[in-house]
Amino acid sequence: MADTLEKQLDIEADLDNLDLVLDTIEEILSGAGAGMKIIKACQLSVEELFVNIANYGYADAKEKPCSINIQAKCDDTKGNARIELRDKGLKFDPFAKEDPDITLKIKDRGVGGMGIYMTKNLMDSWEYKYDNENIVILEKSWNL
Amino acid sequence: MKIEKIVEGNKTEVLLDGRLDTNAAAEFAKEMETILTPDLKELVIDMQNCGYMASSGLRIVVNAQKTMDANQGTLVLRNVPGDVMEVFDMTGLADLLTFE
Repeated sequence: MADTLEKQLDIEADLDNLDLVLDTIEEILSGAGAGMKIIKACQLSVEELFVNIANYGYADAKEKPCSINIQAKCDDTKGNARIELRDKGLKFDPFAKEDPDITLKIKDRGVGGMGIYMTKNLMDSWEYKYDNENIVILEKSWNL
Repeated sequence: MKIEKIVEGNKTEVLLDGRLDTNAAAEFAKEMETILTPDLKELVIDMQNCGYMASSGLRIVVNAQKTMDANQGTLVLRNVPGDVMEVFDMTGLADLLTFE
């Protein structure tokens, strides 16, 4: 058995759409046999990127278009998810920033920087490119 | 997300139920503003029914620990599920916080 499931969301980068994004990831990935651990890893990774686009990507722009393409494939032994986020906001490579220092004590911890670091930890691969829009591609695979 | 709060003198217990995503974290942060008073000595956050935490949630926990340190009090994270524990682990916080 080999199967491909895919869904594309063309939405506003607005936190009101976060539930839709997270629920769609669960729908597509669970359809391809991913367990909750894999699903949550993908949800967290996409959430961190989507929230950044919603909060900073468009400054004060009225329209904040964002496309999220979620694709999951599986055969008898393994599955793979490929999630692509595209936005037309400010050119920004979320992975370019240096990783945060995770050895800092509580009192020395700042407010940010952990989200994208979590994404890097949770995904098998991540990629950023710019082609008139910001494009991020995440991949994660699992065994069945 | 449902946030339940049990207050007993200078001890407060917070029970989280649901997905602690960025939207829930905004709600939780607002709740914590009223909970984290200067005379709070014991804070327990029960996460038994919270199996998902984004970095926005993590930030609230770090801030709560900072406040409890300033108060010379304690913060205990109780019943933390494996997937959430992993987030504390990967961000270097597992050794800096108290779990039970």
